[in-house]
Amino acid sequence: MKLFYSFFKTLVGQPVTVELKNDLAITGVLVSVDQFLNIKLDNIKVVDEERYPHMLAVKNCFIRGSVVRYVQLPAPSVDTALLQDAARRERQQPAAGPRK
Amino acid sequence: MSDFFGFNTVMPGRQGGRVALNLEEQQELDRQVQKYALETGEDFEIYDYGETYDNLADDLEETRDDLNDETFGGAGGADEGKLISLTNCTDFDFAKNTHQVAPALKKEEELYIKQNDHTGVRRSSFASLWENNGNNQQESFKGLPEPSHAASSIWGSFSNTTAKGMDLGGNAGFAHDPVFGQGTFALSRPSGFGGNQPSLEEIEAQLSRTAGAQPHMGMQQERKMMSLEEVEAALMNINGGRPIYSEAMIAEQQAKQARLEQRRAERQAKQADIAKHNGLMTQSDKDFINRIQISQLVTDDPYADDFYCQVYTALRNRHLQQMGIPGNMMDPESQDSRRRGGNGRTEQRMQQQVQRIVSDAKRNPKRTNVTVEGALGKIAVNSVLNPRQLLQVSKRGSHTESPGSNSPKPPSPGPVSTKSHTVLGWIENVYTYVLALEQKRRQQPPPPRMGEEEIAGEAIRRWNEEYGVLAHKMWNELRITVPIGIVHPHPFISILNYSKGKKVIPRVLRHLLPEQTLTLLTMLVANFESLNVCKSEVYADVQGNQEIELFMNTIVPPLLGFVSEAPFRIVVGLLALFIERNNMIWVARSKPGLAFLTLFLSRAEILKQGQGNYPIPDDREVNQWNELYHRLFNQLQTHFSALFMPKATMAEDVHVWRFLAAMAVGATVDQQHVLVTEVREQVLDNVIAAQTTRLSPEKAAQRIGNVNLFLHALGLDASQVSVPAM
Repeated sequence: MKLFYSFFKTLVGQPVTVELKNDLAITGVLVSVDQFLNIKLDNIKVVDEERYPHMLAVKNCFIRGSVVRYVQLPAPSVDTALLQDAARRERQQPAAGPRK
Repeated sequence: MSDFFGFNTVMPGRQGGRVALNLEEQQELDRQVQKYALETGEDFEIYDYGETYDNLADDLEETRDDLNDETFGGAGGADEGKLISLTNCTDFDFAKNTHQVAPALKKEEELYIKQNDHTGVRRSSFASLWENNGNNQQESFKGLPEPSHAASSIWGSFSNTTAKGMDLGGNAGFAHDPVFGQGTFALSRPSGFGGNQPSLEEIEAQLSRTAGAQPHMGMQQERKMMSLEEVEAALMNINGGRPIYSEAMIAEQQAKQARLEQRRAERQAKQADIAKHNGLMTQSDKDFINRIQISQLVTDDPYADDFYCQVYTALRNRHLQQMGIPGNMMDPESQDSRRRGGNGRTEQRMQQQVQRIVSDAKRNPKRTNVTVEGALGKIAVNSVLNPRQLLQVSKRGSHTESPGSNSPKPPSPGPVSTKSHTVLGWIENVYTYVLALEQKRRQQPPPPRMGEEEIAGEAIRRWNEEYGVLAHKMWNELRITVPIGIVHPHPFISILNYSKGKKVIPRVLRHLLPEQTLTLLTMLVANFESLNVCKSEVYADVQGNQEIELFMNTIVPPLLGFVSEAPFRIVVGLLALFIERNNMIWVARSKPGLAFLTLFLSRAEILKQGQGNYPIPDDREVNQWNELYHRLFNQLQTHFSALFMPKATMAEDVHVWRFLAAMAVGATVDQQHVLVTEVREQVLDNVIAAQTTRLSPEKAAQRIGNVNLFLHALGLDASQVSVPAM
């Protein structure tokens, strides 16, 4: 879980597309993310504007982490090798049970 | 009668200088003129248009407005050009213009009246028109001789004897008209007025003399005067520098300001409302809340819990620094704290709290669920860091051993299975140790400072020990030392057959001792044939080619670095092993195999010529080498041309030329002859291809360069090659 938080922190300032569970897809610059993976976006643009004209006037938004289905990432900002290592490290840590 | 209106004498030349007739005087004058108009029955409304341009909203529709039309014919015309042209005509058709726009005028008038309800001033539609396109109107009016003419007739009837003077006066009166004033009224007041008090009185006297005997007009007069006064007020307003036509804007601004004011008041009220809760929480309460929030985010070991972010930031910063840009990506922690804490004090408190949280967490390990006595169920204490576990995967001993806790089992020396999941397990274990080693590297104790050598020395010694242990475990996990021949392929080769395994090798090599690297290289060379990348690109599919590419990019470079520093003896040994244990024809047709052969050959040649810091090898070693070389040459003889890719593939063949060059350098004259004969066709092909225009200049140059790699080694050049006539 922490891996995702750690990962998204590095994407702050990058353009991402957040697909929500209600099929809305919003493109915007990631402003911040928290441990619940709530997301703040700026300069947003809804992908299918014709379907959601009411979103035209919205310039920034806060997305509750639990309503996110996918996040499309900018490929150059993702270090996949490092991500693998991070996943390995997380696995090595004593699992979710008694930790720390 | 030049002094009848006072301004007569001055006006024609000094229109621009008219200023500051004070309010009372002006009103008085207006009143008198009005009176006279009523008395004489003349249509003074016309004049009023000029004098009090803005209270005649409905005068347009009154009777006898024919003169209006004549006078202000241009008013309705938005068509400026036409009006201007009219000024040169004798035939004025102003009425038509007015008539055309009459409905619009009326509408506008109504609108305007509505807008300015509160001022109570009715304005003529001309005024509103003037507001809209003042300059146009002005121009058109100015050009007209008619106004003065009309005025002259008015004045004429009012006093025949002064017809000429009145004409001028009328002119002046129109100049007084805001319609004529060039933007500001300050300019359109006769300056002569100010200094001509007596003449004003004279006017009064004159007017009262003619108009005084009309008492029945009193009421109406009063009403008119009221409105006139207001108009004057408006005029004064203009004199104050505020153009009257911006009143709508002013009103709008005022409304806006009022709204803002209201909003501010609301906000203040709200703040006041909240203020009663001030001081409800003590500082410790706030700290407690803060702690709960922060405890979700902080960690005692950022590299453990925030690995990706930490390393990514470090890598990015290093990359940026390499490119000459100072690392502007801040440390995520400092960024966080900067965002959180306003001033230094807050930040400090935060840090203290973080420390406390961390130590608290260490002391009382979190429990995932709480059983309350007497309760039937358990209360789950889940958090973001401790999500409810949905999958229960049973752990089997050997695979999930945590690296630090107990020593992993030594690599099984006996029968080793090479099933894919086993190999993948090994690779993962290698990764685990590599990560641990890299972590150790980051935690390397700093070099000892003065006076602390002993303590620091102790730390360094301990660190070295731990590092060594980890490195050894990693070495074991690579299974390089498993004897050859027990299983096929060799476990280490099995590891290398996975792209994951290939990728880890450069990172492994960083932690190996030179002897271990040599062992690794030896093992690799000895089992080269069984590598999955040891096959010609022609026979490899897309994935196979990717694997070859990966091998060339990950494993060859570090080993090339190692070999290029190896002494002659080792190079000879490695080549001997290579030739002995592998089918050279097969190996040489693979890109990686050819790369290794080229590597050994060129390194040996360099050492033979005594370059670098190494001593020139003695005769025995050179003889050994020559023998090896002959063996290699004999094996490859008649296969040299087969090293090239089939022409159809158009694949890069620079590595082949490089290999041929390395061969040619060490070859005897006979061998050189054999070489040239075998690859003659390829040489010619390339030279011909470069000479034809089919290829782009760069490509042609590249081809010639490739050929020259080989030819230069023989002491030849591509330019010497004579192309046989086709």
